[in-house]
Amino acid sequence: MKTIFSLSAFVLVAPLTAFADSPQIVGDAPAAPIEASAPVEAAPVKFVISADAIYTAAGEMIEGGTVVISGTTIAAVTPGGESGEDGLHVAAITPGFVELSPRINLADYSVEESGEIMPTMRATSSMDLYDKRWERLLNSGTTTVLISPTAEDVVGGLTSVLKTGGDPTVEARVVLADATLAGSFGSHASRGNHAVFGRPTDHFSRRPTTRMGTEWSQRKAFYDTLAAIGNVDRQFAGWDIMESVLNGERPYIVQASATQDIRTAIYLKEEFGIPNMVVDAAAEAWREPGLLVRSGMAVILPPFDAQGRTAIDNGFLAWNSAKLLDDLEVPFALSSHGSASLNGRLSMQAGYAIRGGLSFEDALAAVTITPARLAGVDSRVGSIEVGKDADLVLWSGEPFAATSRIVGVVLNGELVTK
Amino acid sequence: MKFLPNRTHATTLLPARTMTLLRNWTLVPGAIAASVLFGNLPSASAAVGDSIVIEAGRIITQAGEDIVDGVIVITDGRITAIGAAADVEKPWDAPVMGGPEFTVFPGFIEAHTNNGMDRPNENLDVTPFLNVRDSIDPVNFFFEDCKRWGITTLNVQQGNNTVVAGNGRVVKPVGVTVEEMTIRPDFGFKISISPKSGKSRATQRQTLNRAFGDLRSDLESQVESAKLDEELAAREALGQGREREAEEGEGRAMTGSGWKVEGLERIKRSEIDEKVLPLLEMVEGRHRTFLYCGAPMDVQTAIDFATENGLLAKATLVLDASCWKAADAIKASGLSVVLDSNMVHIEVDPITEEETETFVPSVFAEKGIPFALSSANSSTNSLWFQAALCVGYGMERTEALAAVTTAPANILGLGDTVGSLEVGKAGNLLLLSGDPLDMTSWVEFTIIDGVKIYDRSKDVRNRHLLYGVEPRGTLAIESTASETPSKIEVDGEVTEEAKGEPVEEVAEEPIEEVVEETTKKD
Amino acid sequence: MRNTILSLAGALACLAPFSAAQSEGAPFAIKAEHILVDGGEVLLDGIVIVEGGKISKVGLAADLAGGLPKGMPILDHDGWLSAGLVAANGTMGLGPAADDSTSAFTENLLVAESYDADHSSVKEARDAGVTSFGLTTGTGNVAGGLGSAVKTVGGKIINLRTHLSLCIAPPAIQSRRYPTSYSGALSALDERFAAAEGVYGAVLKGDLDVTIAVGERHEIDRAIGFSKRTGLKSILRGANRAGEFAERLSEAGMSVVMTAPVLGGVKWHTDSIQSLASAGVPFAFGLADSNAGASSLRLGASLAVRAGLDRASAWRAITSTAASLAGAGDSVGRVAVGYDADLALWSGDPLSPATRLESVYIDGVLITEGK
Repeated sequence: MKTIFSLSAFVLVAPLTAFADSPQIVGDAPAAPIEASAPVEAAPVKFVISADAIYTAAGEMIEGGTVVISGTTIAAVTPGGESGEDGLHVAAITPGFVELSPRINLADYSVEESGEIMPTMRATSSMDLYDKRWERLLNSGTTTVLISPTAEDVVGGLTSVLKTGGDPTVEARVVLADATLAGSFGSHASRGNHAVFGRPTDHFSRRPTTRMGTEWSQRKAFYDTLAAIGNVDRQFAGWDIMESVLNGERPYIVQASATQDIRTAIYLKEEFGIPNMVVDAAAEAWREPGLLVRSGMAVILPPFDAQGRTAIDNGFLAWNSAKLLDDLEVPFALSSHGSASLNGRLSMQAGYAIRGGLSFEDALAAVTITPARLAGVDSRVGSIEVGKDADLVLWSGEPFAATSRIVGVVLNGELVTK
Repeated sequence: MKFLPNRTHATTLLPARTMTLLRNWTLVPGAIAASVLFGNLPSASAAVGDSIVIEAGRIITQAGEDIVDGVIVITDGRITAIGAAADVEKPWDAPVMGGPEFTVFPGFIEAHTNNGMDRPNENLDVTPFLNVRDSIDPVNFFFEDCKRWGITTLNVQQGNNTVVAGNGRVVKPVGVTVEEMTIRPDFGFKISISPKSGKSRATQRQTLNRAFGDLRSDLESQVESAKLDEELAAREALGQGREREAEEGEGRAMTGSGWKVEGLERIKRSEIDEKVLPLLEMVEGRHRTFLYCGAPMDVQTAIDFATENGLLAKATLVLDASCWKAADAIKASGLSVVLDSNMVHIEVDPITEEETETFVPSVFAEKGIPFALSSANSSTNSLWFQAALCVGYGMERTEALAAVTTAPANILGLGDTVGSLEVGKAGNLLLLSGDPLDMTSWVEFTIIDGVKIYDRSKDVRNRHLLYGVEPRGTLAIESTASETPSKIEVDGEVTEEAKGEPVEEVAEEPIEEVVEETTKKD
Repeated sequence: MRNTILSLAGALACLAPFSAAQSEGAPFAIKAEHILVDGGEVLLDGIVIVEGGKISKVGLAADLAGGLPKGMPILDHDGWLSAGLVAANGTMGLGPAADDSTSAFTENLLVAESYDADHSSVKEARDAGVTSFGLTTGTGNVAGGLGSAVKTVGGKIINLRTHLSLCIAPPAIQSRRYPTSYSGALSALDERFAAAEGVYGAVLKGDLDVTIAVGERHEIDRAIGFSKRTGLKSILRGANRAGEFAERLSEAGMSVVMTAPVLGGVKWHTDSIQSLASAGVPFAFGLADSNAGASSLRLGASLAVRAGLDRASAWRAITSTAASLAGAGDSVGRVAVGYDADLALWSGDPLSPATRLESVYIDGVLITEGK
């Protein structure tokens, strides 16, 4: 490769705006480079990756450009430029993927089933960072995940956003602790509960045993929360967490797959004016476009299935669901439910969404910046921008194509390659 | 869908064309004739003398260079001409399909599947007297999916949970009876080297050995008693002073196997127990066998077993992903392989717990072992997807495409008939909306033996999967087409012969419906 | 049996059979070719004087022999003498009902009240040279009760309340009883330690040790996080992979009781032991979570040495460190003045698998002989 000047030296010395009028910008690339929100420290450049195409998820694609990494963050994203002898060159770069429904949990041990309204439980207390699935997810391009309790409780507890790699401790991996509250509609929350005949046999002798019971429990929890605000006598464990959902400080992510459950979730949102609510595993969201738009609810789609049927409540996920939500301007994220296999991984979900009619850019957003935004971590991850975490996926060809392969993943500025 | 007759000829010879149409209408009842002509019936048997012209912006022949703006002429189910539009003479009266927006590709070939059967596995261990003919379900969804995803030739064999399974069959996904579907009847046997459930590897091997050992000893004792009978007859003839009748035996000597039964020709075929006769035919090299190996350790056993019993020349290994480890032995044996739909083998180091991933098809490609891919499911992760993943992992595109067309055709002994688009080969092809390996490509039409057997614009189920529209009533793929007459233009005149609607309209409709319905609710 | 009775006064020796020396409290001496004092320290031709069931003197025979009171019986052992082995934990003598299953929190139960010193499992331990151990609950409860330090004979209790036994792992976390999840178990414990009442307060004040039973790595990680948060210097129990957390354990001042390595066992087990040793994390072997019998302690220590662990650490893991993690470090586990005369006489080096146990003394009383 031709090197006009040493790029690393340039970044250290020259102001970034020197790139502003760079004639090397191709196509509709932004006129000015993406600037860091904070002044770029003169941190040593760790390495430089050049690519034929950089899909930043924050504006137009940069055809032929470089990403400069210093420390754990992105120091520069520039059209043109070369990676130098020590750097890497790949066909394409996308941001590391953000998965809001990775389902990487310890099954029954990850949800406190002795009660239904458990807002104080933390998903981070019930996970296994030594599980091989983390590494597989990372190698499949997913660099950030939201971990939640499973949907066996009406209100399951607090979720957290973690990186998929690094030292196996919550402290080392956490991006945002207690990011959202997790809840559940549909059949999962009532599963295993039973009516009391005579003496209760165990703690599963309780509500809810049906969908409507689940809905009742949801509403009661929020009524209790309203009652608890300003009334010490009515306060219960975690009422303040529930309040943070009511006042919009924290998103409420609820699992609802079937049409009636999604509807119920929307009605709950509207009844209590929950400002920030996301419906997870929303296979049949496409059936309620009008309600979705009216409610302002965001959606996490479950993985696409060959026969359209999803595992949760047998929801039917039409292949153009992503395209439809996009047309409706409903914010949505794709998810893989933690699959790292070649035909199930998150990048392939983006491919399937494209197959269902979604545009490339929108598919990219649905696995990067949109989920990052929904989880409240878009200031750190989800796009290739100066100052953000250097989480990148390196491709052998056009991203999301079945004929392309992920050849490397960068996490916190470290190259992870299988 | 485009369905225009060849304009140049039609302009000058319109009466003659009408004659042809009339002929068709007279020969068969009208509705069926229209259906046959426009490929809406499941039957793949085109009327004799029928031709169809396929035009495409690009033809991927799998037999040399791609053809840009090409034309294929199929007559009586076979390709009679293929080439650039300028070089191919189109029969003046043949209907024309396709157009510049299409990419034509040979129909995909599934080298080995257990799908489409009522029950793929048998309880008994050794069942060569069974036949998948009796378990193939022609109206199984699987075959419908095959049309949808462009699989035009399939080798249906019994499942891997067996010792010696029943006789397999090569079929096309067309027809309502097994006979209609059949391309090669009584083709191949599955033999499992890996233990059937409930067996250990030792018992499996013993059961296999016993099956062939019993065959051998039975034949030997039959030959022995035949000899005695002959001697008796000879003595009788001598005693009676007459010439003995000519030898009636029609058996033949075994050549490929490690063991022989001397004097087998003395026994009439009809005298051999029909339950073991297929085994003898395998030993004689008359049948292809598909040897299933569930672990690398089974591969050498399979090769040894095939060598001992004369199966080697016509054997194919059906492999689990882990069997890449035995690739050298496979290479040395010269056998072809069908790979598992799971193409990534993950191995965990027992000490370090590190995982090592191996992309299996690449191993076989690098060693130069003939291999065919198989579908991960009968839907999106079908053969095109498997081939695309191979390209992603660095395989040459031509090799990846061969692994789902010509390579399986050769494994099935159908290399001269299917797998590529050449003159003389079957008119099995797909009209795709784009490159076969592209995420956004769809099979728009599937043609088998020159007959259109699938049209995506009429595919209610595909519409359901793609747009979430529920199939209404009992609409089936075929019936929609024949119920909805549409108009086509022949030289400015509008005729009503062709059926079908433009693709775009059908595709767009459902979305609007959904939106409208919901708006009403609100 | 190669032990011979010697006496400085030959006549007395003939008149007073050795058994007389065993009457409780009567002083006697044992002279041995090797005395394994503690860790790697070995006295060649040493002598131990036992008075009132305690060790009153330890030294070289050359220094001490002259000063022995007249008539004191001396046992001359031409093998090795060491402290009786100590299992850092064990459920011997509890029978099958080591846990009360009605609730996950039975923190006030005193496990010593279930201790049956005549149980066959206790005898088995004694026969393997184990003279005391940390009696603890099973792992069926999140807070299982209070453990004790006990001897393997006569129901003798060294220390009635040594530790609170916790478990943050599946045996204690069950689907049909509160808590059903890790998060539930942790928040329940957080709540109780925040309230700091009863035994939880005692633990926080340092009056009681606390053990946390864990298995998987994520459980170890969770237990470390919990200990840091509550400021407890917990003892991890059953944490065979703890070595991978050696630095964090060291920072948190925690220690580890694991099962002893077994023949043909996994490599990470012995690696883990060595990591703990090099990080200076106190560790010892226990029997509570092991399927192998009491003989696994000594064999495990020798396997650890075989895998590269230094002899001193290996020996302490089944004696002095084990004793201190069991809450009895001041009285057992060493051959030292003032310590209980819990002694084991071996045919050779006890860290050699070929070595036989010959006699065991507990509180100066011969318990087993002639093995």
